[in-house]
Amino acid sequence: MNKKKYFIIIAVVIIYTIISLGTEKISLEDLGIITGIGYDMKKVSPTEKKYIFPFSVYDFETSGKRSSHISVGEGRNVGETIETRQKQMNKTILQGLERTFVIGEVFAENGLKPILDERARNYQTSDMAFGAICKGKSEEILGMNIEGYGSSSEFIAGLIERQQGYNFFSQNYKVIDMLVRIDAEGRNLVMPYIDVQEGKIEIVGLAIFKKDKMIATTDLYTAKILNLLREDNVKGVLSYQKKPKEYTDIYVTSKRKVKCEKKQDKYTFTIDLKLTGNIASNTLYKDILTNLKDKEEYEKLMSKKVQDNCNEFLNKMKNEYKTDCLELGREAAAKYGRRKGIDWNEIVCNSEIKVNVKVIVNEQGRGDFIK
Amino acid sequence: MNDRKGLITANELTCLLIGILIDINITMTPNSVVAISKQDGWISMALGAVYPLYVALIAIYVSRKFPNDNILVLSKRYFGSFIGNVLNFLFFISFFSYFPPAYFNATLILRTYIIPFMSPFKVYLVITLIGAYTAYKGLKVLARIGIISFFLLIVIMLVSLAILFYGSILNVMPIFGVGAKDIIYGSKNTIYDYALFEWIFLLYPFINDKNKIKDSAFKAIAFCCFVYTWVVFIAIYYLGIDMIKKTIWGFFSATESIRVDVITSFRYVFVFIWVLIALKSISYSYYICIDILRNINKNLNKKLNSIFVFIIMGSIVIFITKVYYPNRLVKDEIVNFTTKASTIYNLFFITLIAVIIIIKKDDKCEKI
Repeated sequence: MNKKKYFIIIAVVIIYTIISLGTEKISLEDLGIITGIGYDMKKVSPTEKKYIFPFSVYDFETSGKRSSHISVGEGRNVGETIETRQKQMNKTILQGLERTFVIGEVFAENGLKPILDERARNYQTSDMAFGAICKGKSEEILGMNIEGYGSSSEFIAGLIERQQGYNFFSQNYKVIDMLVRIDAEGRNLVMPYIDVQEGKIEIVGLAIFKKDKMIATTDLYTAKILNLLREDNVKGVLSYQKKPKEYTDIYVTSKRKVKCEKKQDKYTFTIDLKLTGNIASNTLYKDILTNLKDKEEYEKLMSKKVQDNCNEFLNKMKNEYKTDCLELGREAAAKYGRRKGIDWNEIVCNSEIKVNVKVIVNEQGRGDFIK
Repeated sequence: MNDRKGLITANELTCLLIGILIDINITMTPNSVVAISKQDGWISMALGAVYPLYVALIAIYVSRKFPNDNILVLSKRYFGSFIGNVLNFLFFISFFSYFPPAYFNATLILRTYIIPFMSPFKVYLVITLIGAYTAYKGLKVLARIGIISFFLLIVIMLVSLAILFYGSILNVMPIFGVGAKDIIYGSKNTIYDYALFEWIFLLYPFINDKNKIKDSAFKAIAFCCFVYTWVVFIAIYYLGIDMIKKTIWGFFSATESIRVDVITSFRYVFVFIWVLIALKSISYSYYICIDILRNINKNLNKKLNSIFVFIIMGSIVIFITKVYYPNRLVKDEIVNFTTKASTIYNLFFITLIAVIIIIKKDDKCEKI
């Protein structure tokens, strides 16, 4: 018994010494905790590009106040930026706690592969950080002071995460989602597009990607329809407005089903959208609370309107974006086989896409005041 | 060897067999399987279970004929001391060939995900201390560790259920899309994971109820087959076959999607559980290697009981791992060869013993 005890004690001591020998211990004050990363690109000459990666780093002051500053890494490649950012730092960088990453417009247009490769290799970073594309330079947005927040990256992370529930946004804008979507067969990436308007950071639309390159940005209205067609089980508000004062809004949850058929070499896609929800406000129908006919008429009109909007977007997608932003190619690949060297972007844009929308009014809340 | 004290129960046998099959290497398997059988990789993975099933069937047959003698004793009995010992030593080598890769895999994953600041040598030392001491404590302790890691596995399975919310079934479709030929061909990559089930030939003399060997073996295979298939399936389900190719540990990358409140990086918790499972596999390897050596020469039996033998074995393994397995690419090349060689030899060896038992059924049995 005694022997065993001694052996265990000796083993623990040996293991502890082995582990702690030669490792450096750093106190918390000497750590630079990264909260947000930006990615920018500058063209030095027509052939040469320069990476500019600003990092938002927390400062812990003795008074307990939290603030942050920006430290910038520059270089012709990712490795160089790591070295140059340390030039201005008096602390050791700690990754893995970052909340957000903001990618500048120019960088996104030139392809995300360089940073995603670095991200996929890096064992320290967290794959759950939220991402966004910003208009102009990311350095400006990350450096903004927002009252009540230690750094603007905290605010941006919350901003992107909390879009869920409105405008049919999903939460699939994390690093892991980007990694999974880019290069997967029949899939394409969309990311939230943010901008500073009147001194405030806000979502202004979506950035559409083809492979790893950004090809277009949309306004919020188009983004809403795109989200509706693209995502399953998302929420948002739809309205039917006859006159400025006569409208009915409905807060719906979507259900999306895609069917794909192949006849000879022609593909046909059918998107079935079932939108169920509660009426949020109503000034159009006097008797919608009691009259079944009014309710049915509203459902019909609303369905028609959403369907028109969707078709309008599909036209835009086929002619303007020329990308399969709805991930329809994925459905076809899952049904008719993968890895045949088919360019789904081209196939989807040249094939017929039907949209069937069905709006269902479920409940109408507590009461009705318009009568 | 046949003292009643060291006997194990049927459930413990099941856990030991599960323990020897399931190693940390399974987190890498989605990548090797998907390379050939694409989105049907999980079917290949399930098909791979044929190999341990064959081993189990032969083990059940042999254990019925000679319930108290393990395969090493039988080979010495049928081929004489010299040839028998040569065959047994080759059997030892084939087990030993899985030893350095196990060290290497556990260390690489630990150093990649948790402790990049520690040199591999230090990690090897710690693994050796823990693994050798556990193996020294004997079969009963190993069995208990097997039970613990069985429950750890169940925890991993339950946690990975959460991935079902995030992925899409579209990634796995079309099922059977790559054709039967590729699915069967792809299952050759699963051999490494299903290997070492041959341990059952050394274990069956220790079980207290000989009728339950069949049950235990089949239960163990069914469980492992399910776990493996699930791991590959969920990796394809979440990542898709295009992304799996870009990762090294497909299953770890798939679990990145799991979000747990309070814990900032769930990765650490998850890798930690897997490392415990890897440590279990390493201590099993220690036990098996020393056990075979003990059986080869009865005279050495007493000397081989001391802890120093384990330390010497550990030093040899550390040396081999450090010198011949310097990085992952070299390791993969060596493992490709050793896995094939040891699997072919093991199958040859157990089939040979079984065939000879059938042929010499009448005369030899009665004499001894």
